[in-house]
Amino acid sequence: MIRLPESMERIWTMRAKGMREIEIAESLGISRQAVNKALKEAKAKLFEAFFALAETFSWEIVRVNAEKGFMVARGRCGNKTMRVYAFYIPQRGIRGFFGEEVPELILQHAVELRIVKKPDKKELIKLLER
Amino acid sequence: MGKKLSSCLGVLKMKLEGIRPSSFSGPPLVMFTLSLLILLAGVDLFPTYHSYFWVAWILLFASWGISAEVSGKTLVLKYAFGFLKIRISSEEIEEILILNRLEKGVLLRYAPKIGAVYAGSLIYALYRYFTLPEGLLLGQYLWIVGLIVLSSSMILSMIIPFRKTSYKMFGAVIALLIGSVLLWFKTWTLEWIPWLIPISMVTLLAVHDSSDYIVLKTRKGKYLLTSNAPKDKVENALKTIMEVLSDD
Repeated sequence: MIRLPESMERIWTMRAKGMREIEIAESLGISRQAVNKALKEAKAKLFEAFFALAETFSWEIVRVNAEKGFMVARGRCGNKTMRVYAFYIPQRGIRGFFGEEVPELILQHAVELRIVKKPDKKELIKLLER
Repeated sequence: MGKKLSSCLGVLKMKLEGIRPSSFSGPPLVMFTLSLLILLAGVDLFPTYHSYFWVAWILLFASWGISAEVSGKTLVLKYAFGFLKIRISSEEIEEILILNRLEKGVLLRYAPKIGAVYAGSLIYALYRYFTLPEGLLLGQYLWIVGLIVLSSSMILSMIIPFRKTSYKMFGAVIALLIGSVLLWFKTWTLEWIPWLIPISMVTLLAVHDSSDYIVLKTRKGKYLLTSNAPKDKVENALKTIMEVLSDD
């Protein structure tokens, strides 16, 4: 399973949490250009990982967000066509779920990345679907 | 090696078949708004002088996106008969989504400026309707009421999720009924009934939108691509965009 290189992942996570590039550069003691380059590469890698995942399982892509690292798709689960949600979680890689059964790990991650304000499963699905 | 090969072959260009950039933001939206303003103001200010009419139509056609293509790692959106090109580097794109596939996707969220243009034309049309005296030629009422019906239907269609097509059609029918009542209050006759058919057809066609909407979100703003092409063409275009976005 795809994992971003450690330093790239750290920079991407800081940006996804809402830090500005200059703040990331100052806190890590690197140049802003280096932060910008790492973010561009991280986004391209995340796009590629989500697209590859969708292609492997023949999922129909609905949305892919490389800034916050998530994908919404339509896929088959048994005989039913269901919604599939996948998230890139730092140090773990891509984790996903079908329908509205949001795992606690993903919910917590969505709060940390400010995708949702509070750990509310319905709110998370609503935000991903609008 | 890869870089040497690509520099020998030049930058790869590929047209996105069946995909058209929309005029929902940037210079194309300015052209669309200007054309609408010229048409609206022209009818009031220069009712007998019609050369403004052609300027409005040229601006309207120029605002329509004609094609989209991939050039290396850049997406090129062509407007104004191909003279205006908007370039989006793949590095700028943070999100790609197919709006009509979202459960609760509404167009207004991703194209609020065009919503504001429709709202402006509705307010103008309502103002003109209530300030128009009775006893004028039928065409003057039809123009204003047609604008009320079309702009209100478009606003409703933009705030109702894509999947609720029947709700959109219901909203358009209600707007047509209200339009009929408004015409009746100004004319006190039924001679406008035959004209209701073209107004209804235009409104229902505008509201019954089966296009695919692809949104590209960048830090600078959002870009909207539309397609009425068959599903396989849309999927091919999506794959091409995905290849551009992916890491080499």
